[in-house]
Amino acid sequence: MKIIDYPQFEEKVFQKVLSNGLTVTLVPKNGFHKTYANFTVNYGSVDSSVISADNKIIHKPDGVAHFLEHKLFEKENYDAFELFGKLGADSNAYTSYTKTSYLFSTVGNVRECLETLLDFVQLPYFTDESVEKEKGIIAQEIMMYNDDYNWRLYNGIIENLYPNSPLSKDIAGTVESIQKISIHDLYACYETFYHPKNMNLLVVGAINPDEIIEWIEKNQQNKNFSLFQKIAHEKSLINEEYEIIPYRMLEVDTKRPKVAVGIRGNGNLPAGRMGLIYKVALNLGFYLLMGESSEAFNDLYDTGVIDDSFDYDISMGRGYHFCIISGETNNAEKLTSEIIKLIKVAPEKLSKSEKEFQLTKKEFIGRQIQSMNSLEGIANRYEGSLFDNAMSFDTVEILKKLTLIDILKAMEYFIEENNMSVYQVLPKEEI
Amino acid sequence: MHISLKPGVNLSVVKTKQFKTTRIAVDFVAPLKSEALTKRLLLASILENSSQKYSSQKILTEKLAQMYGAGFGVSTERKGNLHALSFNLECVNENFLGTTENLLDQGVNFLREIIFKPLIDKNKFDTQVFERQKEILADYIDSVRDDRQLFASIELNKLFFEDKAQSMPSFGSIDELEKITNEDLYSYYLDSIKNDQIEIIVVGDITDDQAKKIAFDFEFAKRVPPKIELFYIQKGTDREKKGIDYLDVSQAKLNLGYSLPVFFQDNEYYAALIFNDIFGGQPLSKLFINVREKASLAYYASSSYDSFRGFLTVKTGIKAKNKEKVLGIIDAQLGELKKGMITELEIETAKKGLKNSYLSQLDHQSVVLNRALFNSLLGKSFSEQEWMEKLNEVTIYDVTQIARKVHLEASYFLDGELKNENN
Repeated sequence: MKIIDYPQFEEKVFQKVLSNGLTVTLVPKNGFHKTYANFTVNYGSVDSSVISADNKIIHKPDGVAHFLEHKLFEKENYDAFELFGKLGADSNAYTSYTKTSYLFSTVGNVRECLETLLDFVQLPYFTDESVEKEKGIIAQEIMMYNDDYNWRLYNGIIENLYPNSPLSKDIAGTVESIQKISIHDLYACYETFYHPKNMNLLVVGAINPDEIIEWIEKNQQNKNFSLFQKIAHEKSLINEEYEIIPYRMLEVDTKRPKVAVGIRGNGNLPAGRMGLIYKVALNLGFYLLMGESSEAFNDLYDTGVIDDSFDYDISMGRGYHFCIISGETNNAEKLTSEIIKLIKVAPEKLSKSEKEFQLTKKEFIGRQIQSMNSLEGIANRYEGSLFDNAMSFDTVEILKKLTLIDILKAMEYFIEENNMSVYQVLPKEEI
Repeated sequence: MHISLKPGVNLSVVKTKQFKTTRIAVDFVAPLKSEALTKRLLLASILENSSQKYSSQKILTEKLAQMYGAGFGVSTERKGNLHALSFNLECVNENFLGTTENLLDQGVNFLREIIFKPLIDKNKFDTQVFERQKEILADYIDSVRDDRQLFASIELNKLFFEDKAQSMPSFGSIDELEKITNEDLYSYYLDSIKNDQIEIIVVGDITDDQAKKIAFDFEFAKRVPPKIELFYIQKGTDREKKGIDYLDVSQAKLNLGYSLPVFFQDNEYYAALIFNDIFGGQPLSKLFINVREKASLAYYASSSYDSFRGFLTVKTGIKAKNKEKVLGIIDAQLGELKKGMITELEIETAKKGLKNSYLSQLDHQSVVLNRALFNSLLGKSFSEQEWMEKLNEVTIYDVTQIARKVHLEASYFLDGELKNENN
């Protein structure tokens, strides 16, 4: 097992790639009660196609990855969710654009929980009847999100940035698309993507790494996996046939307008750790530009254009990266134009921000260390293969080495003339 | 360690090496009053965003950045009959930064500036800050109805509680906000500084002496705060209060309010925890299984128990046309619990789950801090072992007795207008 030592933080990370290809990362945390495990497959809502035996690309209905996530818990003789409950543990799962994650957190019965996690994810069992029943539940879930205007805003801006690409589809699919999902679709996607080579397991908390790796290996030795087949991962999610939709809006029954400005990264995401450096640099760049201590934020705040809901978020995954700047406002027009203006002057503004940059670096380093207080904080910052298994401990080193030039280069690479879009959720006009 | 520094000023210290930060909270505790809810929230926002020395949000956040991004916030919480206005600071332990700067000292000095030296203009707060924060709070109150789940919870709370301070949302109301003048608020602030009970809590890798020094450095004067009855006890009613609203929603919300007159650390408290866990407190509960999984009627269905107000709520998100069916299922689940239709396995599972969450919570510094605060307010502390033992003793019979005390008093339905009629 590879050991990566971080003496400054009194932390160690243990890593091993098992013979079946599964990447295991272990982070023991002294003094903690809980153990948190996250079993992730490099497969999400955008991976909507599989390759058939005769090498044809077959498109599956939208929402299969998320549907699979729901259905894997259910087994012939048991329900994994219930089993975790009986062990006194909490379990959960979530699907994103490019990943599906299954997790548990527990204080006791760590071995039983680990085995339950590995087994329920690696031993699929679907029936027509349970697939039909799940459709009602997922339809309710989709409808619930429909009532959430922040969700509508987010989805709206993503659809603008990536028209017709798989990213523009809701992760859960639509009430209509999920009706088309069959047991056959579930098995086809499962067989394609849920291979140990395409997965990673992270365990963090009150653990002994030697013991944990032994348990995991024993469990894996009892299972046979077919050869890893070709995956129809979407290479790039930028659909060049369709240009960015510059503007759309939605009128709903609300009192306060909401604005989102999206920026689509058109260049490729740098590979491995370089990707993480790029992400950190962009985060810092946007913070300098419009974070809480920036001039722009304070001007807009004091003049009543924005409030504490104003935020920016940089998202990166396999094949895509974008930034969403959003907030509630009483003046949607003003907020929109101010954000766009700010992005346009970014290089000039940032080049004069050496003093602020040094201060922000200090702040980011401190925040990164704060995040090590929480098992979830450590787990959520782990992106698996995307950033070459980097941990939050590595991010501190990246921050220390970062220069203002790096920030400028990253921002220049990211921001282009025509890669911006606006989406607004506005109050319905009174009739 | 828990000591009284002066009459009305207490210090609690939790020494631990588990975290990479030190957390300090200074809580102003006062009896809950309806007219003070909005005042204290507005006060929190004003004090969080400015002080004499840190006269703008920009200067203030820069100071926090200099302290390696120290976490800082001023928040409010309603709990039973009390209200806490809480100043929180979290700073990184220098050992992990390789710096000789004393961040804790800087942090404490910062908090003192915030608490005692607000940005004022003679006998009122800075007008611009006051007006802006008032506006922001008004906008927030306005936007609450966009969050349909929150909106439904607030409406149920209004229906259920008779007492104004309890029935109001925790942020108060627009009417209350409009009434607040700058001068009023400033004099309210001066009064709080002088008369509220003060609870200082420190959690981190620190010695008792260091903590004591920090606490004394705040220089709070002694005071005689009024004795607060922690728990709000409402006389039961036989009449079920009903409320309904129509909003543009595709998923309707059905929320129910029950009285459950068992309070935090009562003899029956642990049985009530287990009752709630089995009824609707977690995803394996009767509500979740029967409403969501078996009948496929809802995306969420859960219960929660407020042991400071003897209040049990059930929340569901459903299709409007299924309302009666869902009501029937919820009632049947409660009925089963009343009849003692509970298995040993269910009780054991609930106990394991509750123990798991109790111990898991100890991995969050903010929860460790909060527990120390409530121990101090209750005047007694509960060891981990005691907690586990009392939970272990609970029997099926005890849970049945709790179920029989549960009494439906209010129901609220947020309906989805005409557009869902054909669902």
